Amino acid sequence: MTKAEITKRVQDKFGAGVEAMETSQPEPFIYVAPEKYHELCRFLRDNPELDFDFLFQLGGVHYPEERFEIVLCLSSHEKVHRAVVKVKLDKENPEVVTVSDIWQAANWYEREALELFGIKFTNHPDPRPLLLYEEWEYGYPMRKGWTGPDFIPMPEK
Amino acid sequence: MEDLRDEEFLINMGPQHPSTHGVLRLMLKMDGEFIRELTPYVGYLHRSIEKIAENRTYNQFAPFTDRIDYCASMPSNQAWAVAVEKLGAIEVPERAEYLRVIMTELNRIASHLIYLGVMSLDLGAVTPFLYTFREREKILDLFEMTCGQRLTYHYIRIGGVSRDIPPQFDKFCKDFIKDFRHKLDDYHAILTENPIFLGRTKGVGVLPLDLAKNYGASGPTIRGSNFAWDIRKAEPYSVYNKLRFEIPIGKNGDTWDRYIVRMDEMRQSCNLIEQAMEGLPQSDVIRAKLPAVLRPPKGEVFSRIEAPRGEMGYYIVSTGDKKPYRVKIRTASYGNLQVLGPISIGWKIADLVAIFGSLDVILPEVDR
Repeated sequence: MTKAEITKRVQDKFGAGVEAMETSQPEPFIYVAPEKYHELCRFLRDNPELDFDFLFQLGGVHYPEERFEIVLCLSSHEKVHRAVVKVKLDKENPEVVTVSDIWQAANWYEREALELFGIKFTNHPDPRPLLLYEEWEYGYPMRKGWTGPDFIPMPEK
Repeated sequence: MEDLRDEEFLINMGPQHPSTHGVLRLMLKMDGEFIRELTPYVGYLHRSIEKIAENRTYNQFAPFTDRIDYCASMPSNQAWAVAVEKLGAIEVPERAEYLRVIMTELNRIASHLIYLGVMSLDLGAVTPFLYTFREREKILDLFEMTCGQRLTYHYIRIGGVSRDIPPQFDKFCKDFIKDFRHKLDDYHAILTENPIFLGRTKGVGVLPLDLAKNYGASGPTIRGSNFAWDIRKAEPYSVYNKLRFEIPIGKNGDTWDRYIVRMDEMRQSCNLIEQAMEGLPQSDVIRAKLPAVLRPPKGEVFSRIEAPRGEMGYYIVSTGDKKPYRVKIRTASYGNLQVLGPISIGWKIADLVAIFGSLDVILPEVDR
């Protein structure tokens, strides 16, 4: 399906809960409200016309003044189309429900987002750190403005 | 037999175990000889490349992409270049696109040769390892001839490639392809119908297709499960839509099928290189004219290519600045390693080595 068709299908189903982002990219970028997020993901995977069976990646983005975001890149093997789903989260206390029950692939991505960004995923089956070592106690390194004991920022030219 | 069952015990495998291809630690819950549960621990090679990317300009970050997958640096370079070109709507000269195909396909062969050698070494066959590294050496010579490097090339740059191939490349490359086809027959003769190899791989570690999709497996791993999915065909980038090739697939999704898919892919890569050498347009332009400090427009991009191990791609957030605001790296091994747990349950440790070898996971790609 084309970008417009996917956006329309999702907007028909979820109405005000979703919002399409203006972009020149060939795939649709869809903002979804956190409370509709899980339902939307299930819809995207299970609807036979959308059929997003492949979670390409899931990652966090930090906008220190405004919000956290998580970004899901999805694609479909059968329909050969792609979509990007984005959720805006609170800047103080980012928390969202897990989608690892929909795509198992989300399991590690969410663990990574938890330890690197501090985004909590409720109902996650196994929220252990993935990449950092057990004794790590210097906060969430991928947040903007993070500093650690050995961290030297790049000099500005 | 039920009476003989004893309590379960834990075995720690790695991180310095030779068959874990880098540093991977596996915690195995064993019931006698059989694996009941497998938990991978990764992160030993974590360098936070994503954070580094936020502090570098687009061109400065390109050499770091070599270090994501050092067995296949060319496709890693290409994934970054393709993503930034998509973001900035940069047109790549056609000769550069053909050179990219030649180099990435050569690198695909080199990467599969490492897989083949190391996988057979894991199974106790030492000779193929020496043979495959002999052939890989010739590919590295071709790379050295072109860009001066043997492991981390930084050859595919944003907007094109770093330099043109030297005059003698044509002959060396054609000779290599001609010779390599015979060498592939030799590998088949040594391994494919070898009863020991068959016994160790046939029916071992079957990966069902729905599980592969759900866990985000890609590349030869998913193609082994009888599923013809290849980004080069599905979403053609570069000049792959002008070249003829087939997608080799396996039948049952076992270790042997993943092996045969890679063997056939090497043959397909040979065809691709020959076609690309044939169609290479004569031109002096191998790199698009770009400003010294690249500032792509504000926006976000999701782009992917087919690396030797599967789908590799980047998600970039640009604010219009000279540095990317956020770079998320998606690598093939990240998805492929996650299926290891489910598919090795019920097999023995010796089989685990075969299954893990067949997934062709490379750890720096997982940890980044």
